[in-house]
Amino acid sequence: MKLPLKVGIIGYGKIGKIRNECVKNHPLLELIGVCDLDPRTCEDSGVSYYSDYRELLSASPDIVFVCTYNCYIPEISIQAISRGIHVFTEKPPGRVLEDVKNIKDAAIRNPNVKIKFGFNHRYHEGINEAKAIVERGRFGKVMWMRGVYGKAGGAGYDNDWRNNKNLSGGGILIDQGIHMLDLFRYFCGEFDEIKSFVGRSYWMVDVEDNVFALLRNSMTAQTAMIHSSATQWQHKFLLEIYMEKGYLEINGILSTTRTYGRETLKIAQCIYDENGYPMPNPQEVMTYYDYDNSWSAEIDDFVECILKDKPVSQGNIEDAIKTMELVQRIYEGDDQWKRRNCLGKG
Amino acid sequence: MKRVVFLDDLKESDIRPEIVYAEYKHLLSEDIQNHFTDPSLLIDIHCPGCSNRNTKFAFKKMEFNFCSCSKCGSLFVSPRPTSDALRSFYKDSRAGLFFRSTFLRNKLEARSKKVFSYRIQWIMGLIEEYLPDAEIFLDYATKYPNLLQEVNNLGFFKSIISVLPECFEEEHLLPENTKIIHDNETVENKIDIFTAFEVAERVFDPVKLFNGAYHACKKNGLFLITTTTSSGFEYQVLKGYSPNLIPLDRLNLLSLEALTSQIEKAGFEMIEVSTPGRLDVEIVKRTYEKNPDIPLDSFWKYLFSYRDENVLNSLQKYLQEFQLSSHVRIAAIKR
Repeated sequence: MKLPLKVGIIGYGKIGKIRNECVKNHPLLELIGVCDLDPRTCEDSGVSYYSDYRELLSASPDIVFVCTYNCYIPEISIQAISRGIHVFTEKPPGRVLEDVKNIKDAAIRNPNVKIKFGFNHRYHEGINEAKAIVERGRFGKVMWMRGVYGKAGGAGYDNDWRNNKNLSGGGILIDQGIHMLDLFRYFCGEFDEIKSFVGRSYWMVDVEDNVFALLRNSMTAQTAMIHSSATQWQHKFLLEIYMEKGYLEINGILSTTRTYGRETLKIAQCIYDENGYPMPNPQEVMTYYDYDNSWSAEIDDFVECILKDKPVSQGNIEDAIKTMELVQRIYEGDDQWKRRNCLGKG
Repeated sequence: MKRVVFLDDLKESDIRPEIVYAEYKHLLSEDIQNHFTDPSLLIDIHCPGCSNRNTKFAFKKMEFNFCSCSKCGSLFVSPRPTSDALRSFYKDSRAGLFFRSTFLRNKLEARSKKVFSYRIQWIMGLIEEYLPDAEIFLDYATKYPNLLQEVNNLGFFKSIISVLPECFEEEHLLPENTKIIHDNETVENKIDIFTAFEVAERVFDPVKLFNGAYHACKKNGLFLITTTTSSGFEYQVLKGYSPNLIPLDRLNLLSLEALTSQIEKAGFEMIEVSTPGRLDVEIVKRTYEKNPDIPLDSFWKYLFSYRDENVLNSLQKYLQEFQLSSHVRIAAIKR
């Protein structure tokens, strides 16, 4: 494969620009064009502008980053895959599960194409360190996890495209909570039982602004609880992972806005009394992380998969499908919400 | 890059039993007077943190001059005994013998519980994240055989090497499979984990230690170091009044900046720079209480006189969080 790899970015809003920074800083990537409905946003890109994504695909990039509204992701991804172009698409991987399945079908027809989805939280340093501890079994098996991911909405939140169901497919869960669901799977595997409450508490939008859900693996009894919120006035990311012999807490996550606090990982090993019973409040060690390398680490990983023809192991099509399945089942798990929003087969 | 904070209640008496420590310092003071009367045994040095020649006298303790570096802020003893003279002092002096036998032994129990467990967790965490196939562990200037025993019990390492540049009466307490060497200069590109706990402050040339560690580590090998820094609260506030700032044990107090810079210059990439010390505030407070005439700023006097434990604990946690405690731990990787 000829280097540097040629890159096109489709959707040149906030996330598209972040991706461009990663491309600029990667020695093996070269941006050749950007596409957006608004030409003004592309003026500073320094490369060819395309108003139609098909024209950008015709310029034969090796990779495209799909950073559009959720509703356009499937069509663009499938078109790119069909032309043999490697695809990196942002999360969520569409509006509904069916979208991702269609992308998968295209991927099956084009097995040489690499496809990766932007579950960048897996690449945060705190998550990496926690994963290493869980993987090596230092504290035994994961028993349960509790995740809170919430934001205050923000200026113009009620008019944001993310809350237009036709464009986004859902509200805070599919936009932000999906990261937490992906992390639940990353640490604990799959869940087959789901109970959920999906609601609109504050924002006058046609999607949910709060979701509470319980997920359980009926074979292992491992359970996870998520609260995804757009009324978390104090921005919050908290993931607690409790194992048989200790626990981990990732509090705060380094983001572009820096509003979720400093990223910390608390590690504690259980202490036991003379009869072998766990005692409360073991000593804790708190680790602070200063830099968010997740965006670039994610791209490095993808480029390596392409150049070495390795399967995509993180954020691959199966991850996208399984995580979207959880999203869909959480939406459908609340009968009231389901009836009101005409979800599911009925 | 990351840094850690320990959320527990370690006290100075846990790791430095007061009476034993006082006895050690008494012996040290006497031994220094007996050993270093001949000025030819002492040599002037440049700053060990940045090689700067522009250093100035800071204070005198037990007949030795502490100097401070105008460039990097390190604090160090100069003139100081030559490397050979130091080695001979550590080996033959009464203080050296007392340190190795009585003092360390008294520290062991509390250390095992409160300090070693953190070190073991630290080593385990780094192995899990960076070196799941680690096989060869080297500890430089081993002082705590129990720690090596616990390292051995982890079951990760095929080989444990203990570098003992000085005499060590407790060799028999090291794990059976420990290979003892007296110099790591011949060890090249072999080591997965190279540890130097509380060593950099008492070797003649800390930069030589860092370079040696880099030389000894294999690719992706890890260098773990704990030491004392002049940037920390205890030394910044108390300066020469710090009860722990004693010559020969504290020859080099590199500033945090000098320390990280020299380890990077040796070739390592930093993974973690933490100051997880938990004793600065307690030490400063106790020193002030014992000697209210020491020249402390009025803010500290007020704090220690009128504010309770919660405030002081929060201050100590703050010092840890923002790399301002005097105890440093660093993990670095050889890429």
